[in-house]
Amino acid sequence: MESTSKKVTLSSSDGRTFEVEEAVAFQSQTIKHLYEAGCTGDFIPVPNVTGDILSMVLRYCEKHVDSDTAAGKESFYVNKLKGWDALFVKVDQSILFDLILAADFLNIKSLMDLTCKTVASMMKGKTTEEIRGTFNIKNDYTPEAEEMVRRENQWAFE
Amino acid sequence: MLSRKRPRMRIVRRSTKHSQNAETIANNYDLLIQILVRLPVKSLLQLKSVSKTWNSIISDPEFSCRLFPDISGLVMRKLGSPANKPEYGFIPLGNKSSADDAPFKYLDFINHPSGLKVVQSYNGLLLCSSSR
Repeated sequence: MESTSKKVTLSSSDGRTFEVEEAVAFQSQTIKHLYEAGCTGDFIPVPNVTGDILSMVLRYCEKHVDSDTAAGKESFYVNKLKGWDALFVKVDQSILFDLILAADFLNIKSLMDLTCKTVASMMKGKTTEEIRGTFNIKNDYTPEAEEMVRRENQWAFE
Repeated sequence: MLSRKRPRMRIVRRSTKHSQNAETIANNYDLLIQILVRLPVKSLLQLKSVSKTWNSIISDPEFSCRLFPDISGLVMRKLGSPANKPEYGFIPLGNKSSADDAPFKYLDFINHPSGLKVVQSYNGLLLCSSSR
């Protein structure tokens, strides 16, 4: 079994290489398309993604590799995977943002969904000022204009 | 005094580290929108006051379509129609084809002289009454 499954080698932005099974790497649509188009040599470069983040992403892909199969759709398995996902995203905020960027670049839909959902729920209880701090956004409102927008949506702040 | 200062410095260092990749995401509207569409409406209305850009993203009709991909339109009571015989109009949301997919646009299921009145609504389910 081990010897028959084809492997691909990925190389991160900082030059670390990862050998994984095709099915694992092909969770990434980007890698799959690159591979199918024959645009790959001995290894597939994954620029913009560091080794630390890539190894996390591959761990996620390994876990989710069966989720499309019939066995993977059974509710017991789905619930177990959900629990695993919940633990997987219990990381530092900055890692979460790295994962979003990686999921976007590698085009892994379920990871994108998971990480964006996590950031969204993290944003829920925050004040406007805290959100500006998190995303480093400059407040370009005049105090009057900000007050007006706030008043227009007053009920949302109550 | 010293012991209070130290952790504060650590927090500052962390938040600048956050902002680099968080800023990349905030400046990539496609990614930002993917996060925002996963927030409840109440949070989005609060987030309008973050910046002018966020306000315009959240106020954009295109954004509403992504937020509610299943909503084809709104049934609204026409302004000035009498309370005992209200008239309703259909306001399509999104593109034309999604409005054409709406299960109904007029409350004309029952031909009653006093017409239909919407008593309550929830998630697209209408409770109508034709009495009175």
